Formats: sequence, C-alpha cells, structure tokens
Amino acid sequence: MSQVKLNKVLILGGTCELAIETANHLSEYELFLTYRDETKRKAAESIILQKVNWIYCDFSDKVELPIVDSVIDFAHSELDGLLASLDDEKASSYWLSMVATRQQMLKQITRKMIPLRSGRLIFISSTAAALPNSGQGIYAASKRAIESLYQSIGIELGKKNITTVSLRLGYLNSGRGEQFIKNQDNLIKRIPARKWVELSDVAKTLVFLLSPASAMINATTITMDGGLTATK
Amino acid sequence: MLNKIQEILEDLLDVELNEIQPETYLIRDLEAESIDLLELAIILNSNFSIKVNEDLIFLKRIREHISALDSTSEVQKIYQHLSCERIEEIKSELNNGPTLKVKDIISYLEWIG
Repeated sequence: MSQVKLNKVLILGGTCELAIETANHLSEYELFLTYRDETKRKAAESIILQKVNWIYCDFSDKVELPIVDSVIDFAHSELDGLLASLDDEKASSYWLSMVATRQQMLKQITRKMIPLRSGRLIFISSTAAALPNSGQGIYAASKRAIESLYQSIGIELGKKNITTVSLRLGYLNSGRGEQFIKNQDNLIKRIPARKWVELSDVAKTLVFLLSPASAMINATTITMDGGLTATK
Repeated sequence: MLNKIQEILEDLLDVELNEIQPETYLIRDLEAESIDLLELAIILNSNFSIKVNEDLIFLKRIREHISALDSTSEVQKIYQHLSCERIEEIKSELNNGPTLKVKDIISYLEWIG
C-alpha cells in the first residue's frame, strides 16, 4: 500500500506564542490551528504570516478534525496547586480534558492517518514532567501521561509509518516562562548552556522533527533545556 | 465479495492473491497483526460505507464468550453473522490459535450489508 503525503499540519493549541512562531516557520505546509478563545485567535491571525485554517476546539466536546499527516500538540492548560489541596472537581475536569479527551482526539486523528500510511505526531512537553516544582503536580502528571500516549502510538502504529516524539522544553523565554525567569537571577546559572530556550529554537527544532530526516526518532522523548535536567 | 476482500488483503498484507481463500486464517496464515486488523476495519468502513464492530468482525472476544456461555445458540446470538456450524468449528479448534478466517469477514459484511 503506497504512502500518501498531504503536507497538512494540525497545530493543537494554535494561539500560544510557540504555536504562532512555529506556524511562521512552516510556510510549505497547509496549516490547521485549533483555538478556544476568539480574541486570542484574532490576535494570532494578525501575526501569522500565511493563511491558515482555524478550528474551534476547547478539549471538552468532540470536534471533527481534518485529515492531516502531521500534528504538533501545544495544547495544555495550567492548574497549579499542591496535590493535597487541589479542588477535586477542578482536578477531575482538568484530567478529563487534558488526558482522556486528548486520547479520543488522537484516536480520531490517527485512524485518519492509517490509510495514508503516513503520520507524524509531536507533543510539546515540559521538563516539569521529569522534575516538577512544588505545585506543578497535576500539570506534570498530565504531561507524563500524554507523553506515554504518544509513545504508545509510535509503538503501535510505527508499522504504518506513523511515528511520534515528545519534546520536553526547559525554561522558555516566552509566555508564563518569561514572567517566571524575570525574577530568578540565579536560575540561569543552573543551566549549563547559560541560555533560556527561545521561541525560534523550538520552532526550528520542530521543523526538523517534522522532516523525513527525523523519521527514526520515534516513540521517545527529547529534552531541550540547555542541560538543566542533566545536572544536580 | 471474495474478490473485493482478496484485493484489500493483498494490498494490506502484501501477500499473493491466491493465498487468500475463504478458509485462510488471517492471523495464522497471513500473519495479520492487530494494527493490520485496525487498518482493515478502517478500509471496510470506507469502502462499504459501514461502521464495522471491530470486536464482532474480528471475533476478538469469541474465546471469552464461548467460555462464558453454555450453548452454541447463545454464542450465535452475539455473533449473528456466523452459523452455528461455524461456531462449533471454532469451538473445536480453540487450542490451535486465532480462529478468524477470511470467510468470517465475508459473512460479517454480507450480514451487515
């Protein structure tokens, strides 16, 4: 059965800064971006250089997703708090949308990829999955759970040329990360590379991870943190 | 129907068409893996405009049902596309490995169609 290349990329969580930067590095692909906030969508639309297709998706209801041969999954909500004090209902709802609904979406996406005999799925994870700070318990657990979903997809569907990789990001000089690192003068000294992860670093790495050259990087996790989590 | 299934399986499993006969075992003879059966279900859904029940068409739980139910007729109530004779045949060879045959796929498609 022959392989079909569509060059269509679905970007989950398409309004975050990372997604926008990445979209601007993917001019040769047709892009489908999900959003859940119309204001953010409009803001993103004004920055993204190419025409993209927008899909409303808030990870609570089932949404019909397009047939694509690549996915970059940025979608992730925050829920901070000590595990011993998190509100039960909020924690359950968070877990349901982040993990269970995502599994159903991945099922829908990969079933459409199987007849193409072509698929690449990239999950944007966090070094918190390996080394969570206090208060990041449920966020870190969900990142690890999703990494595991992606790993299993790569194992189960590799034979059909559908592969996966998770990219764990360290301290990012953008969004919430930027606010956090502003007040942490000594933090950069803990990073062997003495640099924060920049948006363009991530976008260029994702371009590589979408390319055929990275095809054998499958069912695994890559860490991009300048060496932060390699040290004591 | 046999011709259509032969063509699909030939392409899907990269086997010779003449190796695919009604009595051929999908897993034992053609070495189909679970991911191949998933792809087969997706192709059948698309080609025949149906939504196959993957448990039923691939007899995924028939071993469990045969073990739990006393009579062949009770098993046949679940697997309505199979004849009682076919269920008896399956019962007699449970210890020989996966029992799914090409003819079971055809029976399902004819039953649902």
